[in-house]
Amino acid sequence: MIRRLYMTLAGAFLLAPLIVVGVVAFTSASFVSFPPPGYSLRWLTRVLADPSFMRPLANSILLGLAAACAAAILAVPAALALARRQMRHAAEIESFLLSPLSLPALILSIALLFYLSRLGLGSGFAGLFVGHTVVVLPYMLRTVLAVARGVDPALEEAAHTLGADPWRSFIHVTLPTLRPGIVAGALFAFLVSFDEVAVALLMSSVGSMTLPVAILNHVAHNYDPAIAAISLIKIVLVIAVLLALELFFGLDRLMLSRARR
Amino acid sequence: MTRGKLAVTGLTKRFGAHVAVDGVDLEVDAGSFVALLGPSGCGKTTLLRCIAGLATADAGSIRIDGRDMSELPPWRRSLGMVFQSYALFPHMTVAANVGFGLKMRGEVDGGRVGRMLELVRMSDFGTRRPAQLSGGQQQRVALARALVTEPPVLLLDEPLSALDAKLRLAMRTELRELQRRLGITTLFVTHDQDEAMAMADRVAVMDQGRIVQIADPVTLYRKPASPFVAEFVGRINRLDNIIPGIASRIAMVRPELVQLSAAGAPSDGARSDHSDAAAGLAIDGEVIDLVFVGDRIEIHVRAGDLRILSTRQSSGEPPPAIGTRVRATWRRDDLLVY
Repeated sequence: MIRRLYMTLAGAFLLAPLIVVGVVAFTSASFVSFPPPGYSLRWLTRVLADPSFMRPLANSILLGLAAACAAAILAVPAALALARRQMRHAAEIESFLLSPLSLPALILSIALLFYLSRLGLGSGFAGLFVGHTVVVLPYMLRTVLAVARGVDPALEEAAHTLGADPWRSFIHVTLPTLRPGIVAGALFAFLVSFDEVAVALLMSSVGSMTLPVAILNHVAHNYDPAIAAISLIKIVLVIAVLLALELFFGLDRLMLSRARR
Repeated sequence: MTRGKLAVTGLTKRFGAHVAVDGVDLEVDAGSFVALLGPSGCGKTTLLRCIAGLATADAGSIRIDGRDMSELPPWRRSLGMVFQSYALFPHMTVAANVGFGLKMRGEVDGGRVGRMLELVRMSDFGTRRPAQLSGGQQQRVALARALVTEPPVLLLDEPLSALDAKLRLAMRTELRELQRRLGITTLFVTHDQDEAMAMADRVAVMDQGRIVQIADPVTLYRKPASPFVAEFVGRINRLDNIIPGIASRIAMVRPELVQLSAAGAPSDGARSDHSDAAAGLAIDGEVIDLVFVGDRIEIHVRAGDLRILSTRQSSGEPPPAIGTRVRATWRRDDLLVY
């Protein structure tokens, strides 16, 4: 009984801000107030038609996907190498690859800005892409490594004895067994990138702005319900991605290697 | 089937300074079942892995039907292998697992997969996943998977060790019958000497990277080539220093060949007890333990510093009680002397 009450309160506490945002997005007023005086779709339509929001939204989605892909391409071989424990200094390499997690985001972004500027990638999508890949790689590596460590090394050997050369055994055996880790990692990677502010703030240019930065910019100059509208769109998008994954694959099946549909 | 003759010559494999396989020669006739038996670390698994191609030998050759496999990677050797953990692909169904070898060759054939599943009595399990199977079922699927491409040689790395005792015994017979039916050359690694003796045509006993004896089970048991083999295969009594004239050598006798009689009484009426003991064919002691093992009874006798084990059928004469003074005797012909 107490437990139920506690769970309800905790849930309400966590969801309350989202609910407030969602409600305010439908307000008819020209200012933010809760509860709203009336309801209307004007702010949603305004935001959906506004390229200064839609362009950054598209950029964020693209960036999230790109960073997640790049992180996957880098993390899978790294995880396999680390999991096989045949390398010297494996522990040190692992710590190094996971280190962006331990750095304050702002420090990381300043460092990235300096370094990438030197390489000529200081602003624009390319720089953002590199920066975000660095930021999300640890999330991907963590989940893939956890799965890779649980894989029986004999699986690959069995594939070899059955006629699969290293490439084919990777495609048909290793990669499928790593899938839960890759999907979970990609989800985290996308969500972290989608929400990321520090790197994006320092490295966004007008053309390559991400959604969080666009929202920040808007809030700095006008505090109106457009913020709530675009935030609602963002929330809906994330929920839609999770729902789609659940419906098509089953989140439990994707993320846990043992679950069955 | 006459194909599948395996010939290993001078095979050596080192891990740093440690020599795991030391110049091993092994010939396995087509269609026969040979067990590699030995304690942990003797090199039997390393030898098997070299033959499979999962480890690269430092010296020597591996020939199958005359063709040298030594330079070929495992995916080109076309051998069948069953691993100790079975290594079934968890993300594939049973049927997909079994058909994997065919798929790698570009020969997708549901019929062959079906027949293989029937052979191992797993026909109803085609759509299941490995995680839904019991240990014995997984083992049978692993076997079917290894055999579906009809390889000339089947390699088994302690495939029964993960099973419980009863299932192990049942799988022993099943495996051997399957092997006979298919007539496939089989090399079976185990540390369990009961298993090796029960299943194999010939057993190769290994110690420290070498094959110390290779023979059929009966010869191995009755005429072990060294004290190591005598002690490893079956139980044995060491009779150190009680046999005159061969005190500097090792003498042993099998427990079922040790007779017990009342102390002081001769086991054979025609000879006097005095000469038996003097000839090193008898010793007096006291029964300190009786162990009932179902069809056998073990009688443990303490004679001075020695422990003598005598075994007999439990359906025969009842054993002397604990504490009884007894005379343990054996025949000269039954002694194993090195």
